[in-house]
Amino acid sequence: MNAAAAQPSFQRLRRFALNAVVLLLAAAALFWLHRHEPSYMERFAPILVRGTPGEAVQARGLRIEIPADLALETGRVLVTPGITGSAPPDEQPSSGLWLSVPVRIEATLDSDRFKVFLRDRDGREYAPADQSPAEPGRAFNHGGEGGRMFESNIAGESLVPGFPASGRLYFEVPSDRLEGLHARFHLGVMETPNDNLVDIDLGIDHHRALALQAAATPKLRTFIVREGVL
Amino acid sequence: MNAPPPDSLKRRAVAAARDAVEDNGYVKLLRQRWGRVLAAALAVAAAATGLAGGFERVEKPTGIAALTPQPAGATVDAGLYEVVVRSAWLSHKVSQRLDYVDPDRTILYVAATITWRDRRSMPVAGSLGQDLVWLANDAGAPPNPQMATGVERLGGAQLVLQPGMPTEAVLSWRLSPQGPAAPARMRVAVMGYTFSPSTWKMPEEKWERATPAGLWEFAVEDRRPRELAAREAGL
Repeated sequence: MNAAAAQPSFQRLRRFALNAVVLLLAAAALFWLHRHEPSYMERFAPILVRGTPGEAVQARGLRIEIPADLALETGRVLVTPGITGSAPPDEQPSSGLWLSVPVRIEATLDSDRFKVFLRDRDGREYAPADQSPAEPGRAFNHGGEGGRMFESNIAGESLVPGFPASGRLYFEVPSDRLEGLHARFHLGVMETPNDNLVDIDLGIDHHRALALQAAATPKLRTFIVREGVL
Repeated sequence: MNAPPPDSLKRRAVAAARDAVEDNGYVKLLRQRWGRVLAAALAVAAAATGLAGGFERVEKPTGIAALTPQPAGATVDAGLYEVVVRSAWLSHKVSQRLDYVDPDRTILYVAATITWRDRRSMPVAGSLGQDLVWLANDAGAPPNPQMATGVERLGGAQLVLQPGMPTEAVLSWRLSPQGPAAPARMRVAVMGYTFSPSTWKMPEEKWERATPAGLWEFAVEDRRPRELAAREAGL
C-alpha cells in the first residue's frame, strides 16, 4: 500500500521537476532572444553598396560616379552667388576646409531628389552646402566680371531618369578629418529603411590629406561666369 | 418654405449619409445622453488645454532666473554644443546681406560661435534659433524669454553646423515697436540638450527636454544712429 502510494507521488514530483526545468529553459531562451533582438537601427539599417572613384556605382534607382579624372579641390572660404547679379558674391569662411567633390549622378527608376553626406573615420557626418537660390544663367556683373552665372553645386537637385546631373558638391570639414572620408548617397530626402546607401571611399590617405590641406585655395567658388551665353 | 419632394436629391443625400454612419461607434455614442455629456466634457478639456498654452510647439523655458549671468566671450557647455556669445548690437538693417535700412524696424543682432558636437550635422538653421537660444530680456527685468526670429551664418548665408567645427553665427530678434525701448544691457540664455533636435534620435535612445544651460549679460552697441546718418548722407 505504502509502495503503491509512493509511486504516483514520486512520478508527480518527477513530472513537476521536469516541467519546472522545461519552463526555466523556455524562460532562459526567451530572455536570450530578447537580449539578442536586433535594435531599431539594425532592423531598419540601409544596405550599403560600396564603390571607388572612377567606378559607376549602381544602386536601386540610382547610378553614381565620382570621376577619377576630376580632382578634389579644397578652399578656405566658400564663395557663392550674391543676392542679386550685381551684388558681391557671398563669402563663407570656415574654421576648417571646404572640400569640393566632383560627381555624376543619375536616377534610374523614378524622378527624385538625392541626399549626400560625408562620413569620417569616427562616424561623424557632414552635410553639403546647399545650392544658392540663384537661377542658372542669371546675369552676373561684379568686380569687372560680366556674363551669365552657372552654379556647379548640385546638392539636393531633382534627378530625372535619362538625364544625368554632373557637377560638384561642397562640404565643410575640419582640416584634420580629410583622411579616410567616404561620400554617402541615397535617393529621396529621407533615408528609406532597408534601401540602398551608396558608400564611395574618396581615397584620401594621409599623404593626400596633407596635399589637399596645402593646396587649399583662399577662395573656392561654386559658380562660373560665361560671357555671351543666353 | 416647401418641403423637398420625397425623391429629391437632398433627401437621397441625407438618407445615404444616415445609412453610412448608422453603425459608426461614435454616432452610437452620441445617441446616448451620457455619450453627449462625455463628448462635451472632452471638448471643454481640449479647449482649456489649448488656451493654457498646450498648442505652443515649444514651451517657454523656466529656470533662467536661477542662472548666474556671464560676460560676453564666456563659453557655455550646453551638452550637444558649445556656445560663446561674443557681441550684440541694435540695428535698423533688416538683413546682414543688404545695406537697406528701415528706421521703423529695430533688430537685435547677437554674434556667437557655436561648436556642434553631435555626430551628424545640424542642417536645420531655423530650429537652432527657435529652440536653442533665447533672448532672456533686458538685464534687471524678470525673464520673459523669446525665441530668436532668425539665425544665419555670419555674413548672411544659411547656417549649417558641422560636427566639431566652430561656426560663426548671427542670431536676431526683431524688437516690437510697441514694446519698451531697447535697453543698453541684454541677457541671452542658451538651452542645453542631450539629444539632437536635427537628427531626432530614436525613442529607445531617450530624449531629454531642454533646460537652460547658460546665461550671458552684456552691453549692446547701438548702431542705429550711425546707420541713419549714413542713410541721410546717401551712403
